[in-house]
Amino acid sequence: MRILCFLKAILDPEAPPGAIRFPGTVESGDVATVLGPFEGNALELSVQLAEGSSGSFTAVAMGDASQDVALRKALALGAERAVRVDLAPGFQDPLAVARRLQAAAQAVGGADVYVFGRQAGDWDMGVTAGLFAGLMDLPFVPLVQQAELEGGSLRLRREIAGGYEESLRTPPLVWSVTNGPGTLMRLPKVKDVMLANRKPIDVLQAADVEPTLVLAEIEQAQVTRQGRMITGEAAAQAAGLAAELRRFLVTGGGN
Amino acid sequence: MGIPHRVVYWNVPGHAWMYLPLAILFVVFLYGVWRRWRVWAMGRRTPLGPLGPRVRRLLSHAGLQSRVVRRPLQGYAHAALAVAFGLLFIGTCVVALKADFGLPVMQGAFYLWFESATLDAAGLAGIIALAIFLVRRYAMRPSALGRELADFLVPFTLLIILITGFLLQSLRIYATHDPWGAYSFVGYGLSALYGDWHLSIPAALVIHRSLWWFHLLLAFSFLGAIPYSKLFHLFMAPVAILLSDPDGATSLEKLDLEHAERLGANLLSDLTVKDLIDLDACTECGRCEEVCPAFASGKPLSPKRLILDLREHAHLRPQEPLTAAIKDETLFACTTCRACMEACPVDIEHVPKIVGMRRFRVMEEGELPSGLAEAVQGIEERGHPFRGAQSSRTSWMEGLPIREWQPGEACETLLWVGCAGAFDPRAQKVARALAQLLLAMGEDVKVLGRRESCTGDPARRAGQEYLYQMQAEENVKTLTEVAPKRIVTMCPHCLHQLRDEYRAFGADFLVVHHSEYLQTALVTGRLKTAAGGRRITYHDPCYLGRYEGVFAAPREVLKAAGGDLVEMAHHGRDSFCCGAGGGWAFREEGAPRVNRLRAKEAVETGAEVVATGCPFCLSMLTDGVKAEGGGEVEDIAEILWAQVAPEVTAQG
Repeated sequence: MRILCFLKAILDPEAPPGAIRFPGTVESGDVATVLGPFEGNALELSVQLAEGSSGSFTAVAMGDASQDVALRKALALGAERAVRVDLAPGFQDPLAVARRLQAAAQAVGGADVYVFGRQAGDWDMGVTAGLFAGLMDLPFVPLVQQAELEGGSLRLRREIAGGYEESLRTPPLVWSVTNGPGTLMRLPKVKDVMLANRKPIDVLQAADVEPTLVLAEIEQAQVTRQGRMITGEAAAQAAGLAAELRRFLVTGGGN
Repeated sequence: MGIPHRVVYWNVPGHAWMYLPLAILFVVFLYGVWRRWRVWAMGRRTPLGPLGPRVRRLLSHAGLQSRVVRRPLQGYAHAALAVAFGLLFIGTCVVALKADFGLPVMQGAFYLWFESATLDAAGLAGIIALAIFLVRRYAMRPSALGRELADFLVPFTLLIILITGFLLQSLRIYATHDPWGAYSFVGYGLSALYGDWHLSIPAALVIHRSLWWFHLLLAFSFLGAIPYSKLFHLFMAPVAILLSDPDGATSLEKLDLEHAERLGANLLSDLTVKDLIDLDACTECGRCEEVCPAFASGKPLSPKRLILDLREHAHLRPQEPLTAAIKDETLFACTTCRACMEACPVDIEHVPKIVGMRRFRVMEEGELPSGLAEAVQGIEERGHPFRGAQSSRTSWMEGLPIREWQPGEACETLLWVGCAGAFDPRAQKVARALAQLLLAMGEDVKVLGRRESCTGDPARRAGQEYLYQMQAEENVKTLTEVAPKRIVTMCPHCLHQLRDEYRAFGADFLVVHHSEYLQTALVTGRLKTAAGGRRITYHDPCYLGRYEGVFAAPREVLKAAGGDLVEMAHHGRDSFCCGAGGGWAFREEGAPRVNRLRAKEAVETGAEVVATGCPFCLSMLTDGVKAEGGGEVEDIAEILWAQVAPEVTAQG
């Protein structure tokens, strides 16, 4: 089974507040570029599926050389090939991203299964995988937490209200992975990390795609806190709280 | 009466037959040694430094038994037994020189004062020592001592050998009316009883002859059992001491990542010869277990059990992986505090073995306990292990006139803040106190800011040597470029790395812990303090005390800050870990937690303040002391700054 796993390295989500200025430039300090959290989950399920099918997988990322962090991780975890679609960093319109990834997927010869993280940890739009599936004209299963090979098909498990939903799908198909039991990215073995650092990363030119969405302006939300202590006897507190809630619902929280 | 002497082999016709069991004993003994040799031969070369310090350690730890006697009752009993058997061995050699080589050595004053009086005293001392051992093991029943059959047979057999020796002597004195018998005072005293009991001479002769063979065969059996029991420590303990690192193996071995056949230890052949000899040197005294914080808090690790499990594995399943003998929860329970190694009378090096096996699990198999895995990943991705930190490397020093070092600048005093000082809100206050003290001293203080990165210590202790080496190389490169005149750090883990372990990466910097630097400043009058008067107890951090040997400086600083010092039950070299070492600072620990045990000791002193000199100890003890209902927990820098600040203000 041929597996294509799409990865994205992002500016450290744990960087202290104020260290990153929107849209995505480092303002102060030493901010690391790390593999996005859901891409870690996607990578883990790709590794599991590759192991289960005695095959391997190809990792694809898009951006400048800072994306190599993600690809090296994939190589250390057993990816047979790492491909970077070369593109200057900055905000990318999700449809343009999906189109460029579609071109890249075709350039590497296509696959049976296309695996995405549920959303990139920087912009958190969560639409690229679906758009990609649409462009490829393939079925799309979002928010997968477990994938097992069953004959030539895949048993995919998703969490739904009150339980799980399992479905048997026949490749080719696209799915996105969310965090859940068994999706925590494993630690690579050091020998594999050392070997991965010596493996090549193939660089493809990004397809020339017209963006459909342009970032015009962005404003950082202002955080305000308004606390009020309701004192008195328990009954008085309850009455006070009820009155506050009523006022909040009526006025929308304004004073 | 003639020249004082006694007839060897008196009343034992056919004594020449004893050479038959003696020959068997030799074969059995040599086979036992060969079995053990086979295991040692599997080990890789032990890296050895200069011989001088090793020999000094051998004379002190084996010759004078300086570590054994740290526990006075059993310690002096053991030393007495060792001296007694040493003398009895010499006495037996003298007998052999006379009997087998015909040398006239067993006569005159030497016979009376050494062969008779001294050896009787030695035998008596041996009996008393063995009685103490048996009473301790079976009446006082400390949990660290085993009570298996072999644990009983060893002292009991020795006791029987000594007692039958005295009985033989007394029967000979009784039957021969030995004119010099009184010099053998124990045997002489016993012989007086036989007259009272009307023991006939022929009966005494028969008893003597039978007992002689019994005594001989028992002694031979005992000697033959040595290579098959813990008694083998007689031979292997001195070797283990001689091969041990004179610095106490505080610095872990730098792994050759490029060329190592396996990263870390998973087969006996991955351990050093010293590691394998350690297994046979263990006396099973249990002192390591008594001082182990992991064991005390109910974790599945006993340093003694670890050594014994490895020993059993080495002899029963020498080709199988070590993971079959030592489970992950045991390996990762260790806080690397080195209390076991400090307590071990025969210098067994537990921590390097544990880290060696961790290296295999982490680097070859990608296994790391949760919490620790995230911390290690944090070091890899952002150069520090504190997940979710809301600060930058320089947030802590906001408003203080301290600058980041710029390329090309000279650097007088570099304050190495450490990740805790930079990212942990509690430790940030310590960094500020220390920085203000340095400024009050008129120091030109600089920090590395974003150029500072984790020393890699948590990664190395966790077994992630690869990441550690990358951190070490990068930091040494940075520090070489900065070339500071001195480095002051408030983190003992950083101190140990920068001062000692980084030497393997070409570092040679003057690095001091803030306690040392502040003490010097107080002595030379660069810092003046106001009157204090609080009752303070000081917790020795493992990496400052046992690893770096700094015990006095922090105490002197506290005294200068007006502290009225009280000591905890465990302090100095015997200090008890706070529970943070070995990566535990980043893990979830179930109850009972190590920090609670330590905090209880601290609170029991009645001190108003618990002081320490390590940001990790500070954090663990703050939690623990609060839970135990104690007072404040502060770093020595904070305590001193509280006393220095009024003076600085007064001087304007």
